[in-house]
Amino acid sequence: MRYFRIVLRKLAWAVFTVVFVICLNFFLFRVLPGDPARAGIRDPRLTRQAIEAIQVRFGLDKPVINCVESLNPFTPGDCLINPLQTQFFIYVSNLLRGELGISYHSNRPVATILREQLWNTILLIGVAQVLAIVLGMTLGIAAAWKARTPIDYLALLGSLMAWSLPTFWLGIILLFWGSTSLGLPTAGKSTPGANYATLWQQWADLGRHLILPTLTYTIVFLGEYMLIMRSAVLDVLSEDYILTAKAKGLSTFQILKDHALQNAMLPMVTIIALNLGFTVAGAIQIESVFSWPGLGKAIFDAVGRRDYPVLQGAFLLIAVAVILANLIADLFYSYLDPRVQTE
Amino acid sequence: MSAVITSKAPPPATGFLGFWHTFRRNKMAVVGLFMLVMAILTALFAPQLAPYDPKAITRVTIEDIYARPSAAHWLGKDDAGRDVLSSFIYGSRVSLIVGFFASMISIFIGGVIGIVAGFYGGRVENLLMRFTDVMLVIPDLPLTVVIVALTKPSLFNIIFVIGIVGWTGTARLVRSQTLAVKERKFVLRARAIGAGNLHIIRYHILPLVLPLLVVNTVLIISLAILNESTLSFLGLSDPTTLSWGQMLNFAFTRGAMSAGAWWVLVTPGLGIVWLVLGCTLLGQGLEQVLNPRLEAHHLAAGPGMVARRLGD
Amino acid sequence: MIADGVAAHALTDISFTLREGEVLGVVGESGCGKTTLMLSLLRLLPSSGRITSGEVLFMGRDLLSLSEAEMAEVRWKNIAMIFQGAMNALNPVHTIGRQIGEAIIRHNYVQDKKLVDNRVAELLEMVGINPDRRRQYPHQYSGGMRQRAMIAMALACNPQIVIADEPTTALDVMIQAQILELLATLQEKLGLAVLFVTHDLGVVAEMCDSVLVMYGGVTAEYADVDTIFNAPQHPYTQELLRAFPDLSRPTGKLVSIPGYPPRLTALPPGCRFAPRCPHVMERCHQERPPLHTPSPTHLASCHLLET
Repeated sequence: MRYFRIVLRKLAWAVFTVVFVICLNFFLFRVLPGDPARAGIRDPRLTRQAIEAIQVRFGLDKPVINCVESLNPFTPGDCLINPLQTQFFIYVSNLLRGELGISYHSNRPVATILREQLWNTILLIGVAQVLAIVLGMTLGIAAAWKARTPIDYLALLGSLMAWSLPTFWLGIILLFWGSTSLGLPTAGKSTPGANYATLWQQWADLGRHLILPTLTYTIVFLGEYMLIMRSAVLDVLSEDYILTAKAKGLSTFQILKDHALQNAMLPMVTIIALNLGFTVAGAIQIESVFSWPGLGKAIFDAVGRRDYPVLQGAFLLIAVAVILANLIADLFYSYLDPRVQTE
Repeated sequence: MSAVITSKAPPPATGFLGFWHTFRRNKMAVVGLFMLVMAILTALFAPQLAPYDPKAITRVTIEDIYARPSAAHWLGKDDAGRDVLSSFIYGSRVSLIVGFFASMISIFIGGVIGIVAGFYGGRVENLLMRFTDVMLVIPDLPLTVVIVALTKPSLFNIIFVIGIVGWTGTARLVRSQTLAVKERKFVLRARAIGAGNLHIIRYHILPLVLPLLVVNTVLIISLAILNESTLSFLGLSDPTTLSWGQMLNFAFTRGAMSAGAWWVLVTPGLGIVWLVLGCTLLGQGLEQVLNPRLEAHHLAAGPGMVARRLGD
Repeated sequence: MIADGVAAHALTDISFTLREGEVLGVVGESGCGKTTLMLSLLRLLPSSGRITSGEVLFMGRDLLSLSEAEMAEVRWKNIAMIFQGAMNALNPVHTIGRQIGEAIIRHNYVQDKKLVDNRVAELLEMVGINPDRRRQYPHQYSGGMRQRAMIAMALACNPQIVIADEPTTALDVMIQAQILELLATLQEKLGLAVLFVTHDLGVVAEMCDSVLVMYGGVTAEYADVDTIFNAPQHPYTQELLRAFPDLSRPTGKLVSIPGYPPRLTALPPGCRFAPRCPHVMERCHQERPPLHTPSPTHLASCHLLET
């Protein structure tokens, strides 16, 4: 019952954060010079019909919100208007219907574009994160167990080096090396124009395209996860209950597995959750370098093309995804730590 | 039976001399400081060190584009026929300027929010920390990209945006330290004799939060440098300032890859790694110096525990 | 990466015998090496510690000459330990039942899963805990309950020896009495040999058969409990007794021993008690006293016993 209440509270908090992000997303784009809707009307790439369609759809002739006619430049407006007839409300109700605007560049709905790309990003991040977490934790445990030995120092130095690498630069270097000496594909998620005889071939091609981006990603995050795990395990191993376990005659392996791992997982989960933002930052850079058709690439392209609706949509999607992932990590934490559930 | 215990006694680090004494023997911190000082010197003496002026207008022939390293141009030339070594040397300036000023902004915001939240507690703390939590969840880089893309990408804007986005970690750290310090005896005593809040913060809380803040600053600088280079690489840099990220952006988007011009791709990256690694080592080292912890634990004892017996 | 080491002889020349069913009290001020001694017996010293010489004979076998794997077999099955501060000695993320069962499974005390669970329930019942609470976590137990669970855990594999390292510190007085009573009952019922570390002489008088008084990592005096209380030979023992209220002498003055026990990194060259000893002589500062035997079962290290 208590656990249920905790879940409910965390859920409410996540919803609140999402609402905050929606507001931020709306006002940020209206306060700063690049108002997506208005800039769009001036955008020469749009036809007259398209402009009119946009105006109706996003209520651009209406005030931003009650009391505010426009935010850039700031002009106060009527406060007694029907809130349903404001840009903010129309924006929110469009969002609820899954409508994120229309790309200036391709004239396609942003939601359609981003939907395909979201899955590609999840694929890339998913594979690489699992690899980085598993390897990082294993190395972290080993380094902590062998603390203050050459193995530990080597792992420590390697992790700090990996941490200091700019993700995009590591990507460039690996791309350069992988394409010239290993003959791996340099861009996208499939070979252009390829016809696959079997599903297996298609998967194999996807796999080949995944190698370099995944490798880059794993290296960058491996170091960080190793450092966190090392310090968490070190803390746990100096606890008294480890001495108890040893006095019980358990072997080193049993102690690490049954007593150190789960306890050290607690700080690990917290920090992985806190670092989800970095995960996204990594994805933007890696997708840009490897032309991986994901959300990060969408942001990169949108910046280059000044395609504000796509930028706005991608930002919202990423922020919401991170909030959700954070919620999951939070719930996982309370699952791991019995003290949270039953106190 | 007889047994010995080796006790590790770190010498007391009081005052600057004591601190320096401990600092000097921490390899990580010393190496990090050396790397950072080297980078700062390079930036300061860029005009003296650079063999060419990267802003000078020169006639460029087709052979100059991505020219290989030679005796005259140690690191070759870039897509516009400019000397890579000179651009590299000047590029250190942007990284250091952005790293320094952006982190100052972050540290200031995070420090003020953390101290105020930790010191005053109650509703103020609740509000500030909830806000920090929300900001913590919003991914930094996309937010930075959006703001910089919407405004004019000038050096000032980049510093400002990186600064106002990266304060959340500091705020949480400073708050927890303030909370810990607040309950110490001398703070309670100062309050008992009627010292004002500002006086207590200034003379009792700040000095004890400061060491932590210094360590944090070094790490924030490295993050800011990474962020700046990423923004520049994504094409969001001030086109008139030459930075390492921008060099990589030009090289990557203007065919250095297919030209096989590794010198343009590798050099600026090494610069970033040098600076960030320097900051990281210094930060980690400082943390060990200011907050030493015994890294021996219950599983560290090996078969060597029972030494060869002398009795028989 | 700061390395500075000072080797300190935490323990020197300690020797004692523990017979079947005997309760040996180990007494001394904090920091005199009691816990180090107990951990040495199980070879559980921290990595900075090292046993430099000596023997630990258990049923004719020297524990110090066993391999690490053989030693792991002896731990808990033959010699179990009740740690001080059960809150930290229990893993917060596992249930009490699991932590007790773990020891049973490790030493194959019973094989079947069902039997392990039964044994856990039986043990908890024995220490006065409702067996249904075996599925609860340490934080759901009170301080006294945790110590009881710790005792149940120590008895899990029916060991011959139980080391109780200040099992009642950090508990309030009422609970302390309950725990001590429980220990005494179980000791008698199971015929355990107990090494009882404490600095409470009252408990020693009540529970122990013999007493080892330690000072600064060495044996001050070792004898049966009557001798220690009625005819102590070492000035430190005498001082300890004077600092302890005696109901038979209600008018007697309580005297605390001035000064502090020596730090192990800065031991005096002669007798370690010399700086605080009321009977100190010139040679005490230069020469370490050997162990004298006032009677065949009585050891004391003091120069006074020579004359």
